[in-house]
Amino acid sequence: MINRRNFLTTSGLLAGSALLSASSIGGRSARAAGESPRRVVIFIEGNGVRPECMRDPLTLQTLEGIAGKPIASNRDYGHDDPVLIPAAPLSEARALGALAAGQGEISLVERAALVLGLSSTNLGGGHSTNFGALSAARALGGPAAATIETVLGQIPGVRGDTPFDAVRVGIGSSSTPLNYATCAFDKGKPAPILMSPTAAFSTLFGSVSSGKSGDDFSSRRDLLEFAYADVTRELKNLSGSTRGRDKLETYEASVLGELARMEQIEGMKDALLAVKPAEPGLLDPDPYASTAPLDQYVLQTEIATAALLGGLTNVVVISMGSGSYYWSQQYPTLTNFYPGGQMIGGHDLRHAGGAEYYDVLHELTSRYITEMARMARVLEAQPEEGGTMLDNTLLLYMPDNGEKHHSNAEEWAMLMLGGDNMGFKTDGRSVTYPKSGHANNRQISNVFNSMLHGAGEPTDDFGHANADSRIAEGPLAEIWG
Amino acid sequence: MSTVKMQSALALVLLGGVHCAGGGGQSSETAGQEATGTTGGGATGTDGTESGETGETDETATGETATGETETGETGETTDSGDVPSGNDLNQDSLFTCADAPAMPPADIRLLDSHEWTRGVGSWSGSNLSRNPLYARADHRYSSYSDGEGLDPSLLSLYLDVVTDAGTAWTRGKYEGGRLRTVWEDPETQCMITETDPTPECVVYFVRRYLERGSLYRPASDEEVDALYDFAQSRLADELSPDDRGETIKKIAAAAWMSSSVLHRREVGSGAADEFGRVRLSDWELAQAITYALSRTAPGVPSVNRSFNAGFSKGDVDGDLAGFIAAAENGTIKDPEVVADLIRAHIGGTDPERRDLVLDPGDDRDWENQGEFWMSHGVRAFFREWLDYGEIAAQPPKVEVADTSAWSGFAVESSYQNTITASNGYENTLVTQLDDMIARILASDKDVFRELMTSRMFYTPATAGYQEGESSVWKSTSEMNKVYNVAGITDRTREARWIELPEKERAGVLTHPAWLGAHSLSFENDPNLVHRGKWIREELLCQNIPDLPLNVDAALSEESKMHSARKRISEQIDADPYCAGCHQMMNPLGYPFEIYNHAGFVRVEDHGGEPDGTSTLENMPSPELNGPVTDATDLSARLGSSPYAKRCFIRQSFRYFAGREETMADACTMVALEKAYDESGGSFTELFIALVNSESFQLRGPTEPNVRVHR
Repeated sequence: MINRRNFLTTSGLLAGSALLSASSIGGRSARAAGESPRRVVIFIEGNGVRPECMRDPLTLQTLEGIAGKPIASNRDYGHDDPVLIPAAPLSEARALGALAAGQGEISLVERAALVLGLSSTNLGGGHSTNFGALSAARALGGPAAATIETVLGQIPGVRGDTPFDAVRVGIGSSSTPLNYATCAFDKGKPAPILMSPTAAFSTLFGSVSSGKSGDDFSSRRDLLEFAYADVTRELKNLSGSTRGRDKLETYEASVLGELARMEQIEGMKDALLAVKPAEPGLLDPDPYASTAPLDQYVLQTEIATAALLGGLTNVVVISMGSGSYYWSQQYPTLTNFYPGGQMIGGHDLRHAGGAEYYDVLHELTSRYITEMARMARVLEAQPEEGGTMLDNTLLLYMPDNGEKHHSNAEEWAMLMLGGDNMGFKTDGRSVTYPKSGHANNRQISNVFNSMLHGAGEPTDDFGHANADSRIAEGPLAEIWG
Repeated sequence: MSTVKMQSALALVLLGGVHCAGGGGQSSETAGQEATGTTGGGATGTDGTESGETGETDETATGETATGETETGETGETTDSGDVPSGNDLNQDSLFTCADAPAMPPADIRLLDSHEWTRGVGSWSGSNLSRNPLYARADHRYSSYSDGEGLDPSLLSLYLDVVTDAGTAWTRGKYEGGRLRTVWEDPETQCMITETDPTPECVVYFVRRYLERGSLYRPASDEEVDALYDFAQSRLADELSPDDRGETIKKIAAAAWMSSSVLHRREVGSGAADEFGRVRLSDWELAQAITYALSRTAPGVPSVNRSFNAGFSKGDVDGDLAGFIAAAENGTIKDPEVVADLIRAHIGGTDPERRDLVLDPGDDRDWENQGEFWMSHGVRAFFREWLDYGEIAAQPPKVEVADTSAWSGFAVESSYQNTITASNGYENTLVTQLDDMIARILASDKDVFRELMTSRMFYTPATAGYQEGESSVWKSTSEMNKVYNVAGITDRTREARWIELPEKERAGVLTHPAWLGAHSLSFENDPNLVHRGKWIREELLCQNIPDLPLNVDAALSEESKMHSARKRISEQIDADPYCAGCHQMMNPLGYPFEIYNHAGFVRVEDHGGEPDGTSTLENMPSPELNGPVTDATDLSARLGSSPYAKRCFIRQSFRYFAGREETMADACTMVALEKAYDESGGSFTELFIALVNSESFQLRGPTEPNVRVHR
C-alpha cells in the first residue's frame, strides 16, 4: 500500500495523474541535465479524418499516376513500397491551408510531414475505435492497455519535472464534463478527458486564478490532509471486499497525488502567471460562455498551449469528439458550409447527409488543424535548449477510427509538426504506405513505436493485444530516424 | 441519449445506418470473411512471415444463431478467461430455473453518483451543486452499477472545485431559500451558528449532527466524530471574525464530504457467515441500499425549502424516509414485512400537489401541470434508463418533424420542439408526459408489464390559453398536442390532458412519442426502425446483437433518399443475405413502428403509399412471439402478453435496483421475483419488495467474480 511518507520520498517527481498502480510511482527520475525536453501533443479527431482533405495535389497526382486511375480511397492505391515525396505542397491540401505562411507568420510546410496509407484494421473501425486508437489494441468493453500518452508521460525524459504526466482536454457531444472513451491509464482503467474549458482552466491554472477559485485552491490542502487521514483509517477498517479496497486505494492515491501536485504547482506561481490564458468570467464577452464546439476547441488548445509553456506537462491529448458518440456535434460557426445553410444533427451530418456534406467535414478538419498550427507557431517562437520548443515537441494529428464515419480502419491520415530533435522527419515530406492488405502496409502502432523511440524509450511492439494482427514491428524509417 | 446508453451504442450495430456492403465496395463474401476474423486482403507481415491478420480477438459476430442463443446457456459471445457470464449473455430459460445454487453478490463499496451527492448535500436538480462531476460511468448499462467506479485523480481534481460549497445549505439563513428543516428546526444546532465562541459540547453536537443528518446518514463512530471535531476546532481557531462562521461551517462540511465513507457507501456485510461463506448486510447498509434503490437518496436526506413558493420537500426535522432510520436503529429492517410496509408507503401513488417534484427543475407552475400520479425517483430513473427516453433532448435533433403526418406548418414544428425543451409556456416535456403515463400504470399496480405495453391512456399537453391571440408564445405552444395526433384544443386540466388515444394509433410506452423520438435519427426515412428494433431485441428480449463486422460500410444509398425507410431498408439490407444475418434480429421488430415518423407523429402516408407497419416475426426466442403483426400496436399487445418479454422486464428491474448484472447464481431470486409478480396480479411494488428482501440483495458472498458487462 502506498503511504504518504514513501510516496513523497520515492516518487522523486511528485505524483501525476497516472498514479494508479504502485509500479508507476517508483524509481522515476528527472531528465538528465543538458538533455533537450521531449514533448508530444496528440490531436485526435473523432469519427474519421477523410484522407481526400489531407492529400496535397502533388501527392495525389503521384499516387494516381502509379495506380493508373483516380484515387477514391486507399483501395485504389497501386504502389508496392512507401511513396515519399520530399517537398510536397502540403498547404494546398483542403484541410492544410493553415500550414502556409500568413501575415507575420512563418510557414509550417517545411516543419510538417503528411502520413497516408497507415491502417489499423485490428481495431475494428466503425464510428470510433475508442481506446483502440491511442492504444493500438482493440477495445472490447473497455481499454485493453494503457494509451500512448500515458506511456509517454511515464518516461522520465518526457515527464521531466512537470506536475502533470499528461493533460487530456477536448470537446464533444456530451452533457457531462468528462469523456471516458479514448484515453486509459491501464487495461480496464479509462482516463478522463476534460470536456469543459472552464474545468480545464481550473485544473491547470486554478492556483493562479483570481477571486474565489484562487482562495478555494489554497484551502484544498486542509481538505486533502483530512481526506488522507480518513481514507487511511477506512482502509484499516475495511475487510472482505477486494473491490471496495481497490476503490479506497484509488482514492488514497488520488489524494496523495493531488497533495504532491499542489506542492509543486505552488512553487511554479510566477511561471504560471506569465502564461496564464484568459480566465473564465473575466472577459466581456466571456469566451467560456460559448457552447459552439469550435469556440470551445480554441479555448482548449489555448489552455493546453499555456500548460506546455508553463511547464505543467509535456504530454497533451486534445480530443475533438473522439470516442463513443462524442463526435455527434453540430457546428453553428460552420453554418455557411452546410448545404442550403441549414445545420443538421451531428449524426446526419456525417452519415445520412452524404457527400453533399463532406465539405463541412473538410472545413471542420481544416479548422482543427488551424489551431494545431497556431500552437506550433507559439512553440516555435519560444527558444529553449536545442532550438525552439517546437523542435522539442512533436504535434500529431490523427483520427480515432480511420478514414470515414463508418470506417474500415484502412487508412489513418496523419499530420506531424515539429519534433525534429526527437528524430522526426518533419521537413515538408509526404509519405504514403501501400494499401491495407498489402505486405508493405504499415499500421498506426508503428507511429507509436516511432514516438516511443523519439521519446527515449525504444519500443518496437507497442499495442496489438493479439500479436497476429501486427504487420511489422519497429518505427517507421520514412518519418523517424 | 444517456451516457450509459450512448456508450452501449458505440460498439454495436448501426446506430448510424444500415448499408452493409455496397458503399464500401466490398463484396458480401469478403465482408463475411472479415467478420469471422480473417482479413479479406490476406495481409501478410513484411518480415516475410505470413500473418493472416485476424484482427483482435472476439470477432465472432457471425457465429450466432438467429435467436442469438446457443444450447449451452450463453448467447454466443466469447467469454474471457475468468469472467462470469452475466446479463444478456445468459440463457433466460436457464436463468429462471432455480437449482438451489446460492446467490453470491459481490461485497463492494459504492461511490455516490451526481444525483445522490446533490440530494445528500441538501440541494436540487439544476443548482450549481448538481453540476458536480460524479457522473456514472458511460460503459455501464445502468447508472446504478458500481463496478470499477472510483475517484480517480482527474475526477478528484474536478470534485475539489465543487466540494467547498457542499455545506451551503447548512449556512442558509432562517428565512432564506434553500434552508433545511434539519438545521432550523433543531434548536441544538443554533449555538454553532450564532455564538461567537461555541462550546466544545456545541461543536461536538454540530459535528455529529452534520455527519448523521448531513453527510454519512448513519450513526457516526466516535473516531469519525473526533476527526471532524478536530478539524472544526482548527477552522474555528482560524476564523478572523464571527461573521465568517458561514464559511467556517462550509469548510467543516467540505471536509466531511471529502471523507471516503461519505463519498462511498458500504455494502460489505457483517456478522457470522452462512454455510456458503456469505454475510448479511448490516442494518444500516441494508437501509441505505433500499432507500438508494427506491429514491436515489439516503434515509434522512434533508427536507429542503428550495424557494418560498415551493415550500419544503418531503420529510421533517430528521429528513425524508425517516421510517427506514427507525427500522435500522431498532433492527426491524431485517423483517421483510417491515420493509414491505415502508416500500409501499414510499414507492408512489397519487398526490395532487406533487411534492415529489419540489427538487426537480421548474417551479410550481410546471409541477401542477403534471399528472396526479407520482413514483419514487429511483423507480422513475429505472424507467427512464430502461426505456432510454430520459435524455431525448440530447438525441439527434429532428428535422421536418411532421413529415408524412396529418399536420404541417411552422407552429406544429415549433410546438414539437417545445415539447422537447419546454422553453415556452408551462406544459411539460415528452419525457415527463411519459413519466406520468407510467406513474398512472404503477399507481394501479395491476398487470403492470402488460399495461406498459398496451395502455392507451396518455398524458398529453394542454393547448388552451396557448393559441394565437391568447399567448405571445403561441407559435411554439399552440400545437403541442399534435405529436399525439390530438386534434383541437386541450384544456388546462389534468382530466383533459389524460386522453385515451385511438386503438389503431397507440398502445403502450413503445408507441409514446418520447420513446419513438429517443430511438430515431433526424429524418423520417432514416433507419429509425433499426434503432427501435435493436432496442427491443436487447432491452425487451434481453438478447445480444453482434458487433458491427469489420469492413461493413453501414449506410443507405444516396439515391434512395426520396423513398420510404421501409423500401430503403428492405431493398438494401433485407435483400442482402449477409446483412440480413444480423438485421433479421432487429428489422422485423422495427418495421411495425413505420406507422410513425421519426418524431413519433402518426403517419397518414409514406412516400406516396399507405403507412405500412406489417411485419413477420420468425425465430423469436419464444414461440408466442412468432407470427405476423399488423403494426406497432399489434406488436405491443403481443409483447405485453409474452411471458418471455415479461421475464426480461423482471431482469431489467433486477439490474437497476440491485445495481449490477445478474448471473446464474441469481436464478433462485429470479424465480422468486416472477412468483411475487405473478401471484400479486402483476404488481411492480411486490416485485420490488421481493427483490430487496432477496438473498441477491441482502447477502454478500466471499468471492468477487469478475462479472463481464456486455454492452
